Amino acid sequence: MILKGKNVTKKFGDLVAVDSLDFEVKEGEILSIIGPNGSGKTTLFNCITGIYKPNDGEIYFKEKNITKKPPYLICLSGISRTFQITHLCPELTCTENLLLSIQEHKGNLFSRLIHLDESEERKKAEEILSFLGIDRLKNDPAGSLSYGQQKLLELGTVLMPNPELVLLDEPAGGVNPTLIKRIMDRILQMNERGITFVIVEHNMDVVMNYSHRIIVLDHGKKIAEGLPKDIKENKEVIKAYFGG
Amino acid sequence: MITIENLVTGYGKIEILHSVNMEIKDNQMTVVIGPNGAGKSTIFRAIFGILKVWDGKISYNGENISNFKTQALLKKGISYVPQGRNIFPLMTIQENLEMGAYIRNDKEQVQKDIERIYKRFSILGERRNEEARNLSGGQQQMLEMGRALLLDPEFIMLDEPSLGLAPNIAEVIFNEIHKVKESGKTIMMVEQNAKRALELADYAYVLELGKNKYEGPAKEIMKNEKVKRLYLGG
Repeated sequence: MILKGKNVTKKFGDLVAVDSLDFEVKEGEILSIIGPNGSGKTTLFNCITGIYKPNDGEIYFKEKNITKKPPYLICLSGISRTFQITHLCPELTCTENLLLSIQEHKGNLFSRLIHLDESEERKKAEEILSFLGIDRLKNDPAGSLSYGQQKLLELGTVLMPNPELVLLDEPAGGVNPTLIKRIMDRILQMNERGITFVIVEHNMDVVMNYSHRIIVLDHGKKIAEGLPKDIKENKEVIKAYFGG
Repeated sequence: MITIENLVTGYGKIEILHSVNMEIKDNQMTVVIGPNGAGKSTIFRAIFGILKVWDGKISYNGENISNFKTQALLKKGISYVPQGRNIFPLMTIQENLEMGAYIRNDKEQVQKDIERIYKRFSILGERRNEEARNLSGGQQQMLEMGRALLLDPEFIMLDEPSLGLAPNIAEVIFNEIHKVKESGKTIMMVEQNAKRALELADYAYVLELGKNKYEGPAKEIMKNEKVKRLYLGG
């Protein structure tokens, strides 16, 4: 078990966004979390990555309690994530944004200053940009990219630091269908190399074709958990989420 | 209704659209698809006066509206829902919806229309007096769409209306858009949920790297093998 949550609860005033949630993420799996808008998916990501402190419950990453840890320590321990709305440095170029995403993982300021040879990182950054099909934009400021291109660049920033667990918040949102396929195939390759993924996504082609397991949230509670084929036929999930 | 002739524009020194041509017909839904960075949103910004037209011409009902101010375009009945969350975070949901109808004079009808939005998106009704920033990402998208529907424009441009929405809510949004079209409005839409968009649309343009690539009746574009493979994910 790479990640485990026990009784995780997060409230905003009277609203219980995540409600006594127990969950487990197995090492090496692709787990999708789906559910209606406002069911607590992003809030759960924010609890795992330390942006929110849960009101109750504990979260363990590789058996270690990370519940009260600050976001940078959680990130350094090997959890990396993306956001629904991208978090990039708009003034920096695409390559620089990718390089920045690993600077954080490299010791102190001094060791960074003497570590002048970053050619390997630069090579990796360019490889990632080329894979994502935005290498021709490598010297353009991130702020000049279209929304979809910014989503791709942000996906690149989580691929840079060699994380063990990656949380993706709507990786397919606003991305062209052909490119979604390429991105998901890349995620599959990385998964085969041992990286665990937790994905929040509304694109059901992605969720059903690429997840090993699915957890369904509604009003902050788990209403279903299982294999894609079982979730597809679950009456409660159809009613709360799929419609029809 | 809208004619775009040889449109050239971009950001700073970077040219994004290289002589794009389009014709948006009255009472139709026209959808624009294409890879990320093809210039789809840029067309909207040029029509809506946010970006300067460098060359070419945009006409609305025969009148040249290139480089008109946004306010003037709104008064002519043109409206635009950009991508992402453009709500007023510190205002309540009710206030956000009222802002959407700011330029309308029929205040009684506005309140009736707001009630209709609350019926369609019940979560907005339940939380109408809360600050909009407390809504989840997808709920903010619902609010933005609801607000756009209140404008009651003649010509409406929608940039990825289904972004971040649960499948059942995305369907509600698509049904609403379809109803708006049926009521006689003209719609131009960019959508990465391209298959669903093509099912609803009358006509489609495929844009790539700032140039026209394919165009035709939506049903035909949907069946085009090349389009399927290159833009619809096979």
